[in-house]
This record gives sequence, C-alpha cells and structure tokens, in this order.
Amino acid sequence: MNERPSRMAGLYASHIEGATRLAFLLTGTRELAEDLAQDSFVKATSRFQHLRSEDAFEGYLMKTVVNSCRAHWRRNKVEQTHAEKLAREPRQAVRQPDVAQRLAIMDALDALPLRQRTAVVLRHYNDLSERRTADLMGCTVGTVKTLTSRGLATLRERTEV
Amino acid sequence: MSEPIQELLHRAASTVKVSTVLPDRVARRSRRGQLILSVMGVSLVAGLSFAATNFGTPTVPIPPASRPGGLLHEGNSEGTPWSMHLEHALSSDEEVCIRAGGRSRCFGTSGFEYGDVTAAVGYVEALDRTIVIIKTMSEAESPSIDQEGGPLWGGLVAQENDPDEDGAAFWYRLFPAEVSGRIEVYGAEAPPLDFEVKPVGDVYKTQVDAASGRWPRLEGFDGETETLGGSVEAGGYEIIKRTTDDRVCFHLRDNYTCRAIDAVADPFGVVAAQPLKCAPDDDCGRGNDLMIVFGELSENVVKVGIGGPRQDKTTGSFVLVGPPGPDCCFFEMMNYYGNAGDLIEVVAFDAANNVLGSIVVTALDRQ
Repeated sequence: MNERPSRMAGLYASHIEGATRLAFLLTGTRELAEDLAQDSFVKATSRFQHLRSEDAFEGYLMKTVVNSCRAHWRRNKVEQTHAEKLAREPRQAVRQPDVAQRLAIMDALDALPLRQRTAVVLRHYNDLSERRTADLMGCTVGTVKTLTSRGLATLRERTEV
Repeated sequence: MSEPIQELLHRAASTVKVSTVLPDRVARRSRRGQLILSVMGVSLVAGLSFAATNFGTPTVPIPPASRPGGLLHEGNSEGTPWSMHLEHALSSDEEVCIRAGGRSRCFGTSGFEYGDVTAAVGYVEALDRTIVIIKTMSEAESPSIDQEGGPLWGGLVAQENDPDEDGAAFWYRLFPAEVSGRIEVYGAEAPPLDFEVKPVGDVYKTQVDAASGRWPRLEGFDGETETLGGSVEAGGYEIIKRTTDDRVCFHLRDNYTCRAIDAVADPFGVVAAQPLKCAPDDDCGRGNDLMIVFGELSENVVKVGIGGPRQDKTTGSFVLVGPPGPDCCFFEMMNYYGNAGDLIEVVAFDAANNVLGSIVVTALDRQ
C-alpha cells in the first residue's frame, strides 16, 4: 500500500495544477475547476492500468478534464444560462490594470461558445497542436481551425488585444 | 499574433493556486453538481489500496476482522444509500461488492479500483433506465430474435449527464437493428421493474382479436409450439404450450416482449459494426458517456469486456453483476473515452478467461 499511494501522490503533484488551471479557463470558476480537476484525476487514475505508459497519463487526464467540463456545461443548463448572462454583464471594473486585464480575458472567455473556448484554450494556453487539439475534442483539424479562428476573433474584439 | 492572448490566458490561469499534495479525501462532483463521495476516502476507510495495475502488483488489504458477508463501509451517493461488503464469488474467490438500490455489483479484490464505488452506484440508476428502454422497445425498433433474426445482445450508449436538469436521457442503440437514432426516456416516469421468466412448457391462451378478426401474434413464440386445445366459435381461442427455449419477458404496463435465453457465442457472430450517430448538439466525442450492454447469457459466460482498438482509450473488462442465467440478463456499463471513428468491441469470457466470442459493436460516426 505504501508504494502505490506514493506514486499516486507523485502523479497528483505533477498534474493536478495543470488540470485545475485548464478546467478554470474552461469554466471560469475556481471552485468548480478544482472539483472537476479532482474528479477527472480520480477518473483518469481509476483507468490508469489501461494506459500503455505513464507518459500517456497527462494527455488522458487532459482529455478527461475537457470532457468533464463539457459534461458539466451540458448538464448544467441553468448555470450555463447564468454564465451567459454574466458574459453579457461584464465583471465590475477593477483599478489595477493587470487584474482588470485578467478579468477581461475571463469575461471574454465566458462569452465564447464552449467548443470555441476549448479550442482556444487548448491551442493557446496548453500550446497543443491542431492535431492534438482535434484529438482531445473529438473533432477534425478543420473544425479546430474554424473554432480557434472564431474564438480568437471574439477574444481580440472583447479584450482589444 | 496570438501571443498576447496566450499571455492573458497564462496570467489568468496563474491566479489559480492549487495544492499539489494528494489529499486524503478527493471531492467528487456528482452528476447533479453535489458533493457526493470521496472515493479515495472510501478506499482508505475500507482498507482498500489503490489498485491501478501500473502501480505494481495489486494488493487489496482487507481489514483483518473482515469475513465474507461482512460490511466494509457504507455511504450515500446522490440520495442512493450504498454499502460495501466482502463476499464470495461463485468461484469462491473473495469479492468486494457494492450494494445499492436493491442491486449488487462486485469486483475482484485484486482488481478493485476506488473509482468502482461510484461506478457501482451509478450502475443502479443506469440499469433501471436501460430496463425501461428495453421494455419500451417496439418490435420495429428491436426485431424479435427468433422471428426476425434480431440479435440476442443489445446495447446502449447514454449521455449520462443530460437527465439531470430536465429528466430526459438520450440513448443511442449499439447494434445494427437498433441504430435508429435518439430516443428519450424520462427517468421520473420510469415504471417499476417487471421481469418474467417463461420456462419451456409454459402454457398460453391466445384469442382472436375482435376488431380485426385475426389471430394476434404471441411474442416469444416461434412456431415450435404445441396446441393443447381451443375453440373455433366466435371469439375463438387457442391454448398453446411452448416447446422450445426458455424466454425472458419484459413487461411494461399492458405490453410485453420476450427474448430467448440462448448461448452467447452465436449471436456474436451475426452482429456487425454499425455507425453510432452523434446527438445533434454533441460534438461526437463520447468521453464520460455511459455504455450499457445487455444480453441473455449462457451459463459459461462469466465476464464481458468492452474496449476499443487503442488500449489507452478502453476501460478493460468487468465481471458480471450476478450469476449468469435468466435472472441475470443485464450487465455492465463503462465510461468510454473515445473519439469519433473509434470502434468498440465486446468480448465474452468464460471462467478460464477463454474468449467465447467477440463483436465489434459500433463505430462512432458524425451526422
């Protein structure tokens, strides 16, 4: 029992932060992101024996996070509606420029449809290739290009970058 | 050009501070967004270690005082009380069994995973939903096995998250005769489970339909019957005794349908891969979806595995919920992390892990 939890702890330490931040960018809510990331970690580790190698864990976890976020939005239409409402009502202005900028990007992300948001985050936060992004999202490379392009256009417009 | 966006994303993400220390209890959100179960905590409290095989040879230290039948732990998930017991399998091997909603799902002690607790509890709801679907299948949706050459096995993929808000679940049938798009089932209206096993020799009475003047077709009869008697007068009737296979019948209100109980190997041979359509509002990835395969099992089937060609996308195999036979007609579910175009395979094993048969069930396909 000692070795396995130890290795589990190692996996957790290596990946939970990235998973949580990815979930945060996809959901915009810190607490929700933590829950989804932990949930995804449990799911991913419970299926760990089916991975060919330990190296595959990160990708598997990332995909689980993406799926969990998507599932969350799909099943929480009320929350989604609320998020859309929030997106229409920008967060309160904050004096510090960097904080305001962070809020602006989160507001702008909230305004994106989930698939555009996912594509943009995977491409430009996780720095994944179009191919890998398509794999994680279960769609074609062409779709990723379209989603990313539209998402970026909206983000630029809303953040004036 | 996108670098500023990239910078903003990183800056926003960096505000999230996360402890990288593995907690004793990992909070999991339920499908209704509630905190339901600390799977790791359950495992630890129950004395069960993590059992992912890549962490080494699995060992599951059962508390020393535990005896078969003994309670290891109990809890509540989404309002569904569950309990974890140490039990003996048919093979006399010890198993960890999760009981919930009047059903039980067991796992070998050496292969027990902490995620299995949640899966076992979710199984209860999923199974009930599945049964409702099976019972409500019209003949056109699911051809009679004997009379129309339909498969003995059935299968469904569920979008498990949709029912939560509006009560609707979306299910996609796996097998060729069943691939007919989306159907909706409302869990709140699910009628109670109603099974009936009709053994060989059971006697039925059939009567001329007054409106049409025709004899109705009796579900579950394939012509190999014996007429015991009847009347040819107005509204005539016939007493029939079935002389062939046992049947399992599923009742829903005044309707029912019956299926033969037969060996599993042959049906595997007649089922071919078919596309599984995506939901109109789905991007076709099936991550986190729930898959249920059901069928009438031969007695030598003890385990069914479900997987895909890419090992890192599969979920491996599961043991049966109960002993094979007419009382155990439904089994297993999985979370399938797959992509459009992946194939899903179902394999049946006997007690010695011999493959009794396998089929490629379906390929995910875009609409």
